[in-house]
Amino acid sequence: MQRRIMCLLAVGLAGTGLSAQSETGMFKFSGFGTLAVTQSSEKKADFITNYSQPNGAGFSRNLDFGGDSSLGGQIDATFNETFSAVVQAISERRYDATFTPYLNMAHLKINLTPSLSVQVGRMPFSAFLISQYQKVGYATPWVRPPVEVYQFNPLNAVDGVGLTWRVPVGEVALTGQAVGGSSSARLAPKSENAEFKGDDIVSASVSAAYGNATFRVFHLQMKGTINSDRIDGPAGPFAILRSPTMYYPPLGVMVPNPYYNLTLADQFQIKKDKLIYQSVGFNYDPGGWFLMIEETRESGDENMFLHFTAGYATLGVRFGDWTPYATAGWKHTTSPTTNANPVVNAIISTMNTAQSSYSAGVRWDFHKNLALKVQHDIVKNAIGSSGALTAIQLGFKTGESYNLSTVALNFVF
Amino acid sequence: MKINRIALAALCLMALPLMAQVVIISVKNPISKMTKDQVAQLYLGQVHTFISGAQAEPLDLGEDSVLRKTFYQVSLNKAPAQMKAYWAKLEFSGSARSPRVVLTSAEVVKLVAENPKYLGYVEAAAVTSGVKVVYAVN
Repeated sequence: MQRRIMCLLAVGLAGTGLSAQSETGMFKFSGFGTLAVTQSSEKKADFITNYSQPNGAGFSRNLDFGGDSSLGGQIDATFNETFSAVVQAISERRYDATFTPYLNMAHLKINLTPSLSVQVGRMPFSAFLISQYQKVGYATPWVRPPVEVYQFNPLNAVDGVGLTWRVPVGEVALTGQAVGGSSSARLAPKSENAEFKGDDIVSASVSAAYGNATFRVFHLQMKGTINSDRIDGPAGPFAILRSPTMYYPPLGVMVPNPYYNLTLADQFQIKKDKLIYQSVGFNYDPGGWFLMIEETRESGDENMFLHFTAGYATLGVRFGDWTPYATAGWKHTTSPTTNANPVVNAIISTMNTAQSSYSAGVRWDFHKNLALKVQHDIVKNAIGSSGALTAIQLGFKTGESYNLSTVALNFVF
Repeated sequence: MKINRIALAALCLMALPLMAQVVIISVKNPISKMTKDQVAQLYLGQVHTFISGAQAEPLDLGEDSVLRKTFYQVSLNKAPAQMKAYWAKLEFSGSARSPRVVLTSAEVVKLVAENPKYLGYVEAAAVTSGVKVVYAVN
């Protein structure tokens, strides 16, 4: 379906191009990509860069060439000073372990005035400082965006309407953005038909650039839903909570279900639950060095699932074509529920993703449009947490440390 | 290739102190002066208007132009790869497009003279009566 939309859009854009060939520079094709190889010292689980990926480096692969690799292509069309359009497709490892491209952007942009524009269609999901270009390795300092903040959110794009307003106030360049719409993302594994949906998304951001400093605040709220054949199915945890009786094998009869609790089922099953993303980001880049700091928070209805605070700080120094950098990242999930219901506790225990990490790496801009990066991460999962890992195997221990080594080649064209 | 690079570097070294570089706008534009920050904000796509509120569109020279490298190094303290990464952020997030590229200073001067929305950087010697200097790069 997405493929068909993409083809239609491409054909549509090409069609309009033929009718207005005299316009110079009306169409622009460009792209970006990363070819990376990742190794993890934790062999009883897989490290994943994106929450929707089913597997990665560690247990499934010793050397993973897919998890941090991606390829993107974009067509920009400028019809006149008022109307322009952009279509972007990305290929990366998805929920079904294939690299089938998906449409990351497809919107029409209308410049109402030089400082006010409207976007209609599919836009990047912009919850965090670099969300809008997190797949573009060449544009970021690291081999992957810090997982504490960027891994857990599976939403890439919002379908809806956005308003962008740019105005200089003295020496400060202010940009305000408001977006309304909906979003969805498939989750792994494919067999569960799982998806995360965000409905009634409303978000606002303000960023201020002053000299070499940029400061950004962001707020988003939506109605979040998780649909999954396994979790919602007859053998899933919520079916157990919602059933007044249960089968007791030793006697071969139905007995009252001690875990029966409709209130808890409604509270913890995520169906149109209010979800809030907030973030504060700061970037200082005088040229010779740069500092990036971000702190984020996810909160909402009292279901204990998606609640956490996370952040990171990166410092980099430029020596000609060489840019060594170091990052510290942290993620705290809010204190686990004291609810005594074992079914609820079982659900919650699998959702603990708290971790911290230290990373060091270097970027080498060795050729025009090409950058080579090498990065080493030391990751510590919090007690009771599997952090950024998936495909957990028997014998895996939570609360332990592991190392990641990655080499990435970034390019733009 | 290597010889070219050395020649280019030598050319830069020789040319830099000699070639005074300026930012120009049309004489039809009412603005008479710009600060370094205002020029930087326009060339970084952070602002799309002059302080008068009128539409502003910066012009770039080709990627291998010495004037271009000098302009970004001196005015924004950014090397070509840094600017490339910077525009990759904005272009691949659909936020903005990098400045229109014009191949020669003469062409920049001609476009700027014709349309008050443009600004460009050229060597001081290229300035004509149709444009005015609003900022001295070096």
